[in-house]
Amino acid sequence: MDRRQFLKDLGIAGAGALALTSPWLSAFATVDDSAHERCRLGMIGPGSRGRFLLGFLAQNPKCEVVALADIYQPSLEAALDIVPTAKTYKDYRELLEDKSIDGVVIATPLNTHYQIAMDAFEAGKHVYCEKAIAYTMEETLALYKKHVETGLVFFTGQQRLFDPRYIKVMDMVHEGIFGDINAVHAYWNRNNDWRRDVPSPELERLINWRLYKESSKGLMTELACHQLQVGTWALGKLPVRVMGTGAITHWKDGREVFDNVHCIYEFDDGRQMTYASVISNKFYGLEEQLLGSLGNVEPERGKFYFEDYAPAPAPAFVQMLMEWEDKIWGANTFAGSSWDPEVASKNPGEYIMGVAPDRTIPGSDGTQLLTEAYVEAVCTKHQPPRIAEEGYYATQLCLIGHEAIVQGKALTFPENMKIDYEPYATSVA
Amino acid sequence: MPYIHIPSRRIRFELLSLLVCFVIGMGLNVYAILHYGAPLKELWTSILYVLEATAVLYGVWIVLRLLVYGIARLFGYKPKQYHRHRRHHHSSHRYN
Repeated sequence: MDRRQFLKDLGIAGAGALALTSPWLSAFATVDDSAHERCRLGMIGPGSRGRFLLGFLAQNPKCEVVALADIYQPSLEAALDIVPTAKTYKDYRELLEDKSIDGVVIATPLNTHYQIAMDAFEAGKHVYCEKAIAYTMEETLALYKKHVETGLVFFTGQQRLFDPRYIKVMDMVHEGIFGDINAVHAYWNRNNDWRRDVPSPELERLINWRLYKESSKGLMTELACHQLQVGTWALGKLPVRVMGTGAITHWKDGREVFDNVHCIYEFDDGRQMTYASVISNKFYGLEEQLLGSLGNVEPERGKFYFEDYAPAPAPAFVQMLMEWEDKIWGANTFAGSSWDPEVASKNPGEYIMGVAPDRTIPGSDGTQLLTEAYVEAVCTKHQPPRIAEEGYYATQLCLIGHEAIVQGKALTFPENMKIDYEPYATSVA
Repeated sequence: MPYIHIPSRRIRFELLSLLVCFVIGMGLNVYAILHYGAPLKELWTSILYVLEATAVLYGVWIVLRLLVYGIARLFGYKPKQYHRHRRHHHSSHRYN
């Protein structure tokens, strides 16, 4: 989906209206002024995710990917199929020495993000870093501070911020259409071992870095990071406390990260956000259910449902018979209908965008727009509001959730990790 | 082999009973549609319910008559019997 289609889908006439919906979309406000500008980017870590991003960058007329860096030669070669003229490096620091490069895209294993991003800021490069942005909470804070200190553009891989479904429905949520959102149930289920094929045993930890503690925090940093941000986006505040458990219950294949995690995030007003991820059952897939007093939102499915939905009434003849039955047998006055299970609503709901989302379109989850926004920001050297902060807290929340699981304790969000960011700054007691 | 000869008058009576049951069922449907403000299309979309009601009413009518017949028999009343015919070789040509 390109920017024009995106605006059309949102029903937004001009760039001026963008700031009212989701402030980071103001990245597109300058798009006409910068029509003749062009930026030069370097990609660090063109693995599978990196090449996915590269595909969109290569199509973007406002940027040129001029350099690639990776320690794994097959990744470099596959990336050259997309950008054949790019220079290649084994050491990302050599790429950073190229003064003609304006910004970098970092899609390396989690444990390397911090050092590479810090070095990129030091080298004066704008940074797009895949989520989670760092391996520890301290590193995350240091990275954010570095971005503020240098004034360089800092984007994180939270593509839902650019997904039209999420943007539109969050507007509805914030208008109160679904009443008070008192709980968020986020989950991501899949049924596979999360492994990549390894051509040689010594490459196991390099290629399957997601499975090992030294380089990843597993489901929390790779999956929860996306969904926790959706919850805080909806509730407009940051949780104050988190507790959780995790274990390896199914894939006992030498991996070191959990394949089964459950967390509860608590907000200062008692509202709750649960997070669950299991990778030995895929039936329920992924979703972030926003449970409001007037309605329910399932943005992944692209739908919302109002509570006052009344199914079509039974035929009049049946209604009459039921009324007679009630008159003859009477209502149970001593116990009500407490034994009747409150089965799930059969409300078919409505599509947020009016039609079912087409998940087969690559990048339609906001990834393409996210890369376009980054390119625009690099061209104009202007950081859109809130995007770095949303990424910052998304990472911090998944990291503290992981820590709560590891320590087996309820952890309070540390004061020294808070940044000056509305609405979080006012909502945290 | 014995067989029962049902006079056409009786058949007409039973068919009339069935029709009355159907009319009652349809009447109830019309009443329900008006009472619950349902769309008129339920006149035919609920026809299966009406047919079920017809069958139930007709069944009740049969049971009622059996009860009346049984009680009458208890008190020695012999209702009018239908003719029982036994098939004879001589008369079989009538049925072939």
